[in-house]
Amino acid sequence: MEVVSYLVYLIASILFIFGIKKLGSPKTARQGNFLSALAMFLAVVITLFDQRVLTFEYIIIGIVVGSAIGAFMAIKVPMTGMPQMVGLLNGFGGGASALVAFAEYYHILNKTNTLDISTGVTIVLSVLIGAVTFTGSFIAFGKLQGFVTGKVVKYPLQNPINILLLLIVLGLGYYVVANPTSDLILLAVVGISLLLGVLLVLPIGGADMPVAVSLLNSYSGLAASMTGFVLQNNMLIIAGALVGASGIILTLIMCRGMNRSLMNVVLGGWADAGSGGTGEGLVLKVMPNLLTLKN
Amino acid sequence: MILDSAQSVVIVPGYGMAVAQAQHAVRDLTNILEKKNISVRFAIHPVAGRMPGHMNVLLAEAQVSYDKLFALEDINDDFPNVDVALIIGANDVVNPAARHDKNSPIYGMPILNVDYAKTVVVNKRSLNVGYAGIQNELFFYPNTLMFFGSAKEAVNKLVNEIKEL
Repeated sequence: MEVVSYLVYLIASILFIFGIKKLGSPKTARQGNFLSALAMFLAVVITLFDQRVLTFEYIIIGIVVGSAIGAFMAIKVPMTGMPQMVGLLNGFGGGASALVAFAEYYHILNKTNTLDISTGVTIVLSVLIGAVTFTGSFIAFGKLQGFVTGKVVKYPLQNPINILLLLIVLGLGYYVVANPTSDLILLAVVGISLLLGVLLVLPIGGADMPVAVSLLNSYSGLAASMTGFVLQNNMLIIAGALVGASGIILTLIMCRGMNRSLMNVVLGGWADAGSGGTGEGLVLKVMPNLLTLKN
Repeated sequence: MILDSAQSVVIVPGYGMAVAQAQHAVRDLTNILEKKNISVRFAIHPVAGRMPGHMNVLLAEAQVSYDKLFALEDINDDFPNVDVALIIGANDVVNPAARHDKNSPIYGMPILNVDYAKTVVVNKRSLNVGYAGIQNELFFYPNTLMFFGSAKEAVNKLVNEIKEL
């Protein structure tokens, strides 16, 4: 059975790679989307057969509810609403990675009462990146949907505070790896990471949100990849790495398209650049109707 | 009429086309112009419509063939040979200030050089600023004509006028 599941994971990974390759051109994009969806379906099915499933009841409820919401969104959300929908889905992806890593932490701890360093590090990173992605994506969604102010939000000592929080969370993470039984500290890592997600996305202007969503997409891939290391699941590592890499490439393409650095976008640079004149005194030729288009 | 006597038309779609869901009207315009033996191409800026690929997906949905879509670097040198550049709901990505105005916040950003075309027709809902929050000097150029209105109605009006000719 184990050989079969490895084989199916391998096939799914290959399908993911071909799928993303085909997404590179509009001609083959539909096919690429189908291949990726097929790969995800294979991965889910084989995981249900192979892994330690305690009860199928919750899984079935989850699949039914999740599929219904997903199908509803796919049909109802207009193309212009795509960035916030992607943002929301990234957030759930990051949250899922963090939850799985957290569950695996307790699972390993209850079994062995200890944690080897590599597992510890990947659990902490998975929880950190996953939690940042979770709240960050919700702020991005809120900004695009108009629930949260689209303006660049600035306050004193913004960057020093963020850097300090990041250092604290890394320090706490190190403590968890060194003292695996300190689960309260891991909870603190979750809490600060959730806060960090909010604070990191808040300063970014609403118009720059698609770049932030793309960056968060990359983060959610990294979180999934880390979870793959925790679970020793090669397919999750590969799929996460694909998402992580394609997310960062898309982010850089958008930055280059605007001739701006990623730092400039992330620190909320452009949106408060002011308006470059009103064009007063200049002649505007307006066509009230198209008949004037006639020579 | 300007469009009618053109030989080469380049359409530059932007967020405004997406918001108005005008891609089908744009497809109709393309077909009717091509029937009159006018070459129609699309110039797609990498961040047109906020996300790379946004315009491609919309135009593909309206069944505009892929070989009419050109990326910035593939079409930019050709604008001096273009009779009409038709801007549909795009703003910052065609702002010439990015090329020469060192004080502009978008200075240095790669833009579509639509102002090199013989005539530029800009369809917008209003003179409101776009993504970067700045006014666009292109609208005031001597070879620019503004055509206000929501993209879908505006393009449909164009199609009807050409039909009546």
